[in-house]
Amino acid sequence: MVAPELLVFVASLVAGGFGAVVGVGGGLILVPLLSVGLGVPLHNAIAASLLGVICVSTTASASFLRSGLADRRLGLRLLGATAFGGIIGGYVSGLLDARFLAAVFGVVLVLVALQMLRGQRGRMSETVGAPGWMEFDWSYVEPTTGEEIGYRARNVGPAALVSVFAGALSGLLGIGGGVINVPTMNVLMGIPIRVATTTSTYMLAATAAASAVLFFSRGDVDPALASPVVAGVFIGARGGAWLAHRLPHRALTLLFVAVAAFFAVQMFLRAAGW
Amino acid sequence: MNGQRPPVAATASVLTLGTVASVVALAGAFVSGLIGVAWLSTLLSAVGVVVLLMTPAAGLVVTFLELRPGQPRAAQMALVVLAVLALSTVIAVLTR
Repeated sequence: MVAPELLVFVASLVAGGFGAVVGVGGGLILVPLLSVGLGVPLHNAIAASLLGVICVSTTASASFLRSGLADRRLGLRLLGATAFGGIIGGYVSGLLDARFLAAVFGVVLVLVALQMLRGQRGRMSETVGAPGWMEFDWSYVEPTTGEEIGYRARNVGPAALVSVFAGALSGLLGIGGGVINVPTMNVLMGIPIRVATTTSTYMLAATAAASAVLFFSRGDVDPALASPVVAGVFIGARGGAWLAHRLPHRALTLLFVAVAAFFAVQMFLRAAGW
Repeated sequence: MNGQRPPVAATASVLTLGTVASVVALAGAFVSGLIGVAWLSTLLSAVGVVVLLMTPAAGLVVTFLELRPGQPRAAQMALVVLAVLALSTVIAVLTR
């Protein structure tokens, strides 16, 4: 008989690794894997996933900040909004029935899977003329070419409003807000996709912490669950980041879509009480 | 274009330190649970979770100190985020 903690550890390892390889974070896979696969109550699974999100975000952020790939000034401008959204999501999550949450999770899984199928657009704004109010110019060095690439952060106000929603979704479902933050920064603000991805990762820790504190105070953080989840996600994400450049990304994306579709159906069934 | 990139070393170090400390504690809790030392597992889990929850806030405090001399406006944004995290903690305490 395998110890339940060991099963949770293995599930977290797989979810963390898979999430890092396809670039969506571990929470989208981990929460349904724990809830549907291992029978963990949904609120406990979400709380544990938020801790995993914090762990992965802080680890990766240290590296992204040192390399200059994460734009801390941009992240801080949006972070107040996402963290506030995190409070809303974390608070509302405690009021909602697990079946309703399962339905919302299923919808988000479907939307993310569709977004993955469409691919990322890779828009970027030009730095012509003086930046307007709340806009600013910045640059990063593209690691694959060594070229310094300039960009202008536009539409900070509207992006902050969307960020509140991203934070709320993160706190509500225990997922990273990157599924909304990255397209918002890229498409709405004109931030290069690499900077958008790394800056979003930088923002996740404080966003998840804002809602995780609320789960903690409600007693939804199960210590017996937290330790294997964080340890598993931490190791899995590091392994996934290493594997990301060595595996066929398109095939993995399609595999993710299939897994997300499977879990979406399971979540809808749970919501329907089956 | 970025002649004056602000320092990041202290923030990166705090984030790394907090993460490593919490992961070590939680991994210890995991192993303790597996070998049946329940009291140690519970203790290490609690320590690991609290350290993990505090790490982003600690990173923001250091970010504020790092940015204040060269980018005071960005430093103020770090304070705003810290205020939101403090609000979250207050709500958590009031609604428990």
